[in-house]
Amino acid sequence: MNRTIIININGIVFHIEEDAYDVLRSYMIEVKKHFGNTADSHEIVGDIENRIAEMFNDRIVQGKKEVVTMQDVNDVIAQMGRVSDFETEGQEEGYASAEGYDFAPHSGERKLMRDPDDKVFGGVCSGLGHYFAIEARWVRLILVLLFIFGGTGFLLYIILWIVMPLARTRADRMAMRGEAPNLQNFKRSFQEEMEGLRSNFTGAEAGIRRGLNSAGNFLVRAFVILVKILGVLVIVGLCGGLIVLVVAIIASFGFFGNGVGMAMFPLNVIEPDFRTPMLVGALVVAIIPFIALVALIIRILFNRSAMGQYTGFTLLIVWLIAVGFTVVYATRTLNDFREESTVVEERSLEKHPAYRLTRNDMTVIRLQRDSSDRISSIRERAVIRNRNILEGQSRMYMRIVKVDSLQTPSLTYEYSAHGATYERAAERAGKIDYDFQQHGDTLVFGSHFRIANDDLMRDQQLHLKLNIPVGARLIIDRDLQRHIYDLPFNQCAENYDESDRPDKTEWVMTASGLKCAIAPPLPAETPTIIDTVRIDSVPRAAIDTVAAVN
Amino acid sequence: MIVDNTQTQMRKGILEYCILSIISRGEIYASDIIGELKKARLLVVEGTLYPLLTRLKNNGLLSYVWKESTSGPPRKYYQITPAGTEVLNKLDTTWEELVFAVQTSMAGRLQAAGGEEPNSVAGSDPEEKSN
Repeated sequence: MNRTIIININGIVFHIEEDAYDVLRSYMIEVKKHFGNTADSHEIVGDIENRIAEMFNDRIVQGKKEVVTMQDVNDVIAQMGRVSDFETEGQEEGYASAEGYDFAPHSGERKLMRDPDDKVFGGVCSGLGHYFAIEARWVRLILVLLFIFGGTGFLLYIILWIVMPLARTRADRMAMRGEAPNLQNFKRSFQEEMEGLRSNFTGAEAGIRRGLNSAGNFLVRAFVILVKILGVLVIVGLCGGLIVLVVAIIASFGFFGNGVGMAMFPLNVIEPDFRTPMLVGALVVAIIPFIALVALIIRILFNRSAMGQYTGFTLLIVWLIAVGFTVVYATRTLNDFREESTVVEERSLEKHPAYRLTRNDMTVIRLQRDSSDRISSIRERAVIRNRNILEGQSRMYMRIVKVDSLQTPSLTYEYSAHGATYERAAERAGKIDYDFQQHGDTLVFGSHFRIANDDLMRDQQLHLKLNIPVGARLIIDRDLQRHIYDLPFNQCAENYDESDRPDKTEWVMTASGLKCAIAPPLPAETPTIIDTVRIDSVPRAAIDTVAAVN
Repeated sequence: MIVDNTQTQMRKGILEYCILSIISRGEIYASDIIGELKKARLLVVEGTLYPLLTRLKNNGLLSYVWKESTSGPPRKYYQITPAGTEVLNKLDTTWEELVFAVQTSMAGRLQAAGGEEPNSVAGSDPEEKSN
């Protein structure tokens, strides 16, 4: 007893035994494969099916033998001939068997051309791959590595792109792969295209994979796996970097202060209205190349595009817009630095024979004020950081200048700032707020100047000139010394020990400039003075003593 | 194998010529063509015939019509076209030339071997190919 299946060949119904059906089916699949996918194949296969139907029909006797058996199928196949028989008969050179298709490019001479069927940018890498008979992705990997380590990959790519011609025609592409440009290969190439698969790509890959399997080359496979693992790690790293970048930039909205009054460098350089767009722009400009790099690595390693063509295109457009935006506003901002203006102000000081110069540390006062209310320790820390940024930006610098002994001492303020126009710069310079006080012979200098809260950072600077008449003495705090340009410290080398500088140093203004004076009472200095006094009196005293002894 | 290749090439040309000859006699069904070829001991398997017929048809040497069959599916009946006839005439000439060439070049050898009649060479040609 056998199960039968009902089949339909060219409109005629047959009952066929199940095992016989399996044989017939695999035979027909073989035949179809043999004749490939040409326009004629449909007709040929149709003819063969027709003939098989007819032969079955001849073998069926109504009422006596109604089922097609294994025997029938075998007979029919024998009569029709196996696919291998078609081949040895060699009737049709055009119908090369799909199975006989040799994936490996044959020994013909190859041409170095760019492959338009398998390209990321210009098809340079796949062209090189064809030329050296290696997979394009390894060429890509090498090039990307060259690009990352040293940057030569980019230049190389551009040069190769220019030098290598594009394989436009089918003949070009066959020459590129080293196939003989005969009819058979033409037909095959055409059929591959008709099959709608990116033949060289998948084909080469299949070929390589087969090669790997047959050769059993464990090392190569291990290497491939290793490279893939490395690739995954790189992707993970890049994604991590990406997240950090996003978080950092978003956090910077809060940290640098998005509010008008609180802005710090670099945000205080940008006009308030543009701060948010600029940050977003910078974010986009920085992130998109990351995404592109990740996608490229995925494409190279896993042979799978990580994003659609449109997504990639959209990302490119967005990136270009963001770059454009950033460049436009960067130039606008730079433009605001074009003119520099300096405003000079002079204030006369009370006359004293000696001045004590001290510093009022603005940043420390802030810190103290904040820490006194002690809301939280975090706030304190924030202020300390604040101080670091502030110091670099708005530090006061001063020089000490000699004037005639009869002149009154004075202090000259030189405020300077930048702006798009001279007037604008002058206006900004005028807004600089600086605190200086004189209490009797004590001069208190603020360590930093302040820029009005609503004003932008435009390279504001303050240079002070302390005009001291000849003969006046100065006692300068160590803190303040760091703000003074031209203090001739080397003169004091003998007076003061470098490693243990005193809190205050004493100077005197002479006709030839500032000179290092003797420091306020120092234990090391005092005996020397006494010694000189003693030397004067030594002869007599010594004589007396000697006489007394004698 | 060079011998195989030569045999294949010879048989291929002759097969086409024979098919054209058979069809030129009148409208004929594919399986009858096969029968004729088998009688001439030229064809081994049927599967070889269909691609050939299709190619000859595509080259315009043959045409076919569908005809209902009393038993089984409709059949393709092949007939020769005027272009086919023209080609066939040319092939006839070529064949005569070939027979002459083969006979001439074989003559000395066969006479030396056994003195067979030159005429029998032409007749035995298809047989040799089918072996």
